[in-house]
Amino acid sequence: MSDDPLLRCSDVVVTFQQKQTRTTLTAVKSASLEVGRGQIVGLVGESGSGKSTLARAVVGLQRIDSGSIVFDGKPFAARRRRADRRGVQMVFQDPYGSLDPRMTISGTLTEMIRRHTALRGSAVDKRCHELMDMVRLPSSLLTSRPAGMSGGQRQRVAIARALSISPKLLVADEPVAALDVSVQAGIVNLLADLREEVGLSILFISHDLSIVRTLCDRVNVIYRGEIVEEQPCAELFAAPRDEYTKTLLAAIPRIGGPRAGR
Amino acid sequence: MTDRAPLLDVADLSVKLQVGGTELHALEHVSFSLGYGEARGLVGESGSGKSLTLRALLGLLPPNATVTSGRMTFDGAEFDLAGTSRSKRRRLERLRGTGISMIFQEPSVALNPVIPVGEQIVDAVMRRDRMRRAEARDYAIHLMKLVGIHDAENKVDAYEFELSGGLKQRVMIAAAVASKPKLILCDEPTTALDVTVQQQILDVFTDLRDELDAGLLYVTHDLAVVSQLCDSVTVLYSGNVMESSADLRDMFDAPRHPYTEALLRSTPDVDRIGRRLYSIPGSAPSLDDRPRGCPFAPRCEYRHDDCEEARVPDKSTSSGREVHCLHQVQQGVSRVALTKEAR
Repeated sequence: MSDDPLLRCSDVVVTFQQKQTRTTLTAVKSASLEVGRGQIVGLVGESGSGKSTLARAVVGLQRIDSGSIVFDGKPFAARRRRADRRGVQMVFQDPYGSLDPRMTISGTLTEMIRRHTALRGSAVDKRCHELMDMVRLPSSLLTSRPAGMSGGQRQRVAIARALSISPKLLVADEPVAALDVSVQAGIVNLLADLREEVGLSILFISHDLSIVRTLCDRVNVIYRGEIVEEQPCAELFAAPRDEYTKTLLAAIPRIGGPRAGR
Repeated sequence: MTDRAPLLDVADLSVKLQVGGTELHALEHVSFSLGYGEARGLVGESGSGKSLTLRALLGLLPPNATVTSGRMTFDGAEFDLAGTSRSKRRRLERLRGTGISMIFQEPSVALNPVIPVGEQIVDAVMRRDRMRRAEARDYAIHLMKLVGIHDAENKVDAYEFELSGGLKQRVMIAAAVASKPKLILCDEPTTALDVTVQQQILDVFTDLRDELDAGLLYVTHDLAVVSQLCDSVTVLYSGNVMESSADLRDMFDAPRHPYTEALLRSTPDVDRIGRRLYSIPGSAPSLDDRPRGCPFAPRCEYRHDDCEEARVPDKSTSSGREVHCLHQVQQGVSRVALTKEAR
């Protein structure tokens, strides 16, 4: 089993019925990707490429039309059991929308811990403190609500919440896109550290190739619902094979790079 | 470019915000200038005051904001930005859409959804020149082609929601240049777009700059975009200018302000794999709790005791370079240079 990847999506198809035009939109067509144990795998594409739809399918927020998603050696059924959901957790792009403004941070974490683990009483509190340490937040924030917190702090809370039930795979959908560069760097480093510290595997969805290069081991490029290229990070950037990947790489602005239009 | 008087000169711009009974100094003594045909990047993180600066120049500040000081020279004419009298505001208003145009981050918010996009460009054209509507429409189509909309004849009658994000932003640019402005203010115009589209839009800006000899004041948080588009750059932090350079390359190769250096070190680089990014400790001060001295001092690696005491004067070392720091990053020990060598 150890040779098996942690996550293997094979020929996943997701379609949406357009009510008004009565047509079928294929958001993901026959996409296959793998995330190995302890790996950080990037999924890169532009808006409308299907990257978020595929991510939602992996987490179980999106029904798939055909294909299979095998996690930890077992295929996910159409309807996931609670134990299935424990293995995969997600962090969303917008840390302002993904946290309940009425709940304190400890409330947010406690809810998850009590629902999915056997911990009760003071063990829950202890776990909350551990989680805050893990995401480098002071425990004093446990009693505050998201309203007074910065975007970076909120995203750390969202990561702590995802980690609260020790998932094997974290699906991070553009987790730093809404953050400032200086804050973004902290979250990117945190994800890299978590892989080392708790052996977390991460599917990292992004449109920003610079961050993917900094963080990921392997990269999948998705274009119009299809994975057009998959390579180890270094190779993809050094020798892209697909035409679309080449276009994408050429379009990245670089500090000190050539001037636009000249 | 140097012997001509600058197109735009902004001096000592300060803006106060009234938020729930407290007064916040959102911008403090911001100055910069811009030549004809020059592109200057105005760089900063959220809350640094970069968008507020653009809005102050146009007199488009939110109702709770007041300009407490600031002079602007635009194309030879003087404006008192702090003026509240009706006539003074009228003068500034007259610049909008004629001498100065603005392009916003979200084209779908800036365009009117119930009017065809072509009409909106026509309106902008007719604001400057008296011409017949049919003529204006032809000119609008010409402009749409100029910004790279290929089937402009069809798209001219389209509504905002029928266009992609990249096309919408092109329409916004077409409308902005319709009045042949001398200055185009851009507020993160490519942030909401995909990289391939962003590249195309940056090319459009570069062409327009050459074609119209217009100045471009480009607000963004993206250092790489600024590096591709701009000649000069001003770095803002917590409403203050930290560092400013007439030559962008000079600053990015050897930043002298610790904040500029920190920003560059925290920016991921596509050409380097697995680098640990520098993350600036702490967070930006809230506007009502800014240190008396350098606003960056509490987070600065080079901090000395005197940093937090008094406001930092401009410690310019050479012409065109402005550095507000008492203990500038010494050349040769810059960590940006070090990480570059490690490549």
